[in-house]
Amino acid sequence: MSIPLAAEPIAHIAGLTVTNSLINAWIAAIILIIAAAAIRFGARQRPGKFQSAVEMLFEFFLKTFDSVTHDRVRTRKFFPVVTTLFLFILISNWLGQLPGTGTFGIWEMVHGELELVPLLRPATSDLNLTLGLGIFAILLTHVMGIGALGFFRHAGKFIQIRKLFTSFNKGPIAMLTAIIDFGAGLIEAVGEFARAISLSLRLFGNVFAGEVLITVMLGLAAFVIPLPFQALELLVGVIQATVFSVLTLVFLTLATEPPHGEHAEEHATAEH
Amino acid sequence: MASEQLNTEVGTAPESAIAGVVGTLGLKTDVFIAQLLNFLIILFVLWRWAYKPLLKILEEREVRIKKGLDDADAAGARLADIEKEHVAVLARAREEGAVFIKDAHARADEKREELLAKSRAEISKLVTDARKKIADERATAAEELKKEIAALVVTTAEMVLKERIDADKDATIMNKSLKKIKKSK
Repeated sequence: MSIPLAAEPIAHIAGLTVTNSLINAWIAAIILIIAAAAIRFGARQRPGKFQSAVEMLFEFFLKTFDSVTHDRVRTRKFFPVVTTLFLFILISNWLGQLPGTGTFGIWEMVHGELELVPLLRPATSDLNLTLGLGIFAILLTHVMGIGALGFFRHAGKFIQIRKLFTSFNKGPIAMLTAIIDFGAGLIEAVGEFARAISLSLRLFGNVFAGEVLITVMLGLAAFVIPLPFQALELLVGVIQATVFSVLTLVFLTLATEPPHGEHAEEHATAEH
Repeated sequence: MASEQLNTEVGTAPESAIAGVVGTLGLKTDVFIAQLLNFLIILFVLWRWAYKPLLKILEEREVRIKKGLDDADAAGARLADIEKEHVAVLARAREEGAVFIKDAHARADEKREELLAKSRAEISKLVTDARKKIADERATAAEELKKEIAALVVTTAEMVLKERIDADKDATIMNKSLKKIKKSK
């Protein structure tokens, strides 16, 4: 039994390769859209059980986000994206624990071998999805950063050229620190790509490893033995969803904060 | 096995190595776009249908709860005020009532005293009148009696004189009678 790193195609519809992980992503989407519709058409000022549960969850999120952003306005701004990331990743992770995931499939000829191609594969164990989410999240931090600070101030965090010019009449040491800052800014720019890749690879690696672990355990013994590992996977599902969304929140918060040194500079000019 | 596949692919050539890694990891443009689009749709739908209405409801409820609490506080304060006022009004009414009753008592006493004094005066007047009348009547009675006695004495004397006319006797009797009359007068 083998699990390929790549999600396997199940069908081709109008030029789109439908992979088994894409099917799982659609299932997650349908679940979330049904839940959203239930709220859209059922939301009341006096909530029922479902609405109360969702409200409690949202209030918990708002409070938690506040502890990161220290600012209700920004919390409200980031709330939709971060919450959606969390819910979507969580449901995708947990869908992987449904019976039939990875075991239910079609026997097909792959690379000259007869292999079972599972119909379902956790959406988050496909790098296409996690990389998509990671790139989306990091791009969004830059959009939000530009929105909050303006293009030049935001770009100035990475290309610290202003300091380079202002340091000319401050002496050699100021020039040296300015050059170091300039280099650090460039490294930070590279770090933005690293962030996107680390976000996506972390999620992908964890969920994929979990899937492999469960498959191996199922191969050892079909009953009872995999249960503790499945319980562990449920936990990993929550943890990874939290890590991804909270990191995104932290990146968003950092991106919308004024650059370092700016305050110090203002203070210095004010004192003189 | 996937790892074998990775090894063989990476082992070929440097420029195809990246492509090989990408291929092994299953990165495909159409699937990538489909996954991203899927997520964006979820994001949009949740935003419009779940977050917006629910957060609005939460905020509205927060405002309403705050208003309700404020109203309850105000109502409590008003109730306390009204109770205080109530107590004050009762106290004042009791005080006024007490004053009224005291007044009434005093007036009643006064009236009684007045009536008593009046009746006492009337009674004493009646008594003095009666006494005066009695004294008058006694005086008139005494006068009448004196007159009658005088008349009786005269007749008696006449009778005596008629029977025994005696100069001496007459003189002594006359003197005696005159002395007696003088004595009684």
